[in-house]
Amino acid sequence: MATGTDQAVGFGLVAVSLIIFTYYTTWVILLPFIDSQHVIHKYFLPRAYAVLLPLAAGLLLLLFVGLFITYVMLKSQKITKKAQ
Amino acid sequence: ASTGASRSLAASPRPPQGRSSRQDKYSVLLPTYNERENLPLIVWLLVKSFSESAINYEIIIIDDGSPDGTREVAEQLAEIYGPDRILLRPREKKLGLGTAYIHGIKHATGNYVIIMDADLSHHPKFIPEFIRKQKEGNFDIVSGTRYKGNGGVYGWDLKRKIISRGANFITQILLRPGASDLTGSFRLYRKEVLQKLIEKCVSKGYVFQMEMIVRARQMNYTIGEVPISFVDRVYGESKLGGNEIVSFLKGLLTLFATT
Repeated sequence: MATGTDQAVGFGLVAVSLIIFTYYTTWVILLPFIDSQHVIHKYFLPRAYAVLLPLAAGLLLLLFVGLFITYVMLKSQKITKKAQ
Repeated sequence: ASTGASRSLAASPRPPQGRSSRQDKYSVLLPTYNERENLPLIVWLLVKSFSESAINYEIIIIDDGSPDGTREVAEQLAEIYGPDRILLRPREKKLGLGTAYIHGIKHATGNYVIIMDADLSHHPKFIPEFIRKQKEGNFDIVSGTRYKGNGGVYGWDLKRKIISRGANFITQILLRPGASDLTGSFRLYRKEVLQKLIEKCVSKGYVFQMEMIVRARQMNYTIGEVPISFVDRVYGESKLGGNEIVSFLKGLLTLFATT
């Protein structure tokens, strides 16, 4: 069933998403309540990026999905043309 | 050999379970296409697990005109196990899975129908569990699931696993189907439920199995689940390319819009 590498990749994915979740939560929810002189602010980008980065990631994802679908559809069109 | 099978049925008296399973009859629908090597094995395994748990059964083989002589093999099997146990309902050419089920149901005499793949990716040893589960909750449908309990998949690479999980995740969010495995095809139905569902379903391929569960939910049928292990076919390709992904997405969105 689950081989070693598969399991490692799975745990890796879960770990990465947990890290992103905690980091982003601190960034967006906790930081506004912490004094602006505190050292912790050194580890985070300005708050505008908290919106910009996910937006960019979402756009990239959409672009990728769109490209993939166009590619597949164009390819299958070529095949049916050949068959005719 | 047919008397042997019925003798073993009568020889194992199991008071409460035996009585109820004598009333119930289970029809297994096996759509085949080029399964010459696998068919004797799957039938042997089916007969074994049925007679071990004293269940009344019939196996309906729906062969879609395989060029490799699957039909001849099936005829021999019917001779060995008896024509009341193994029923042959072949069709002339490849007409698709949905119509194969409709064709099979017409000839099924059981009050429950089990559908599974004949390529050995589904092991018949799970069928008694399906039946137990069905009796336990009086479910209309019992579906085998790869995503719960001890369920799982053998023989898939990482890419395939990730795509499968991803597809399942998106589907769970969009359709809220109330079952964990939608694209699996190892299931037990009440005969009349399957009949009604097939009438309603329009899609093909991977989406067909998904639509059955989603429509079942919509029509307020109850669904039970049994963890199964799925073994990818050793011979022959099982296809999953860009085309399959795109048509899956199309079907998913259609279902999302229409249910």
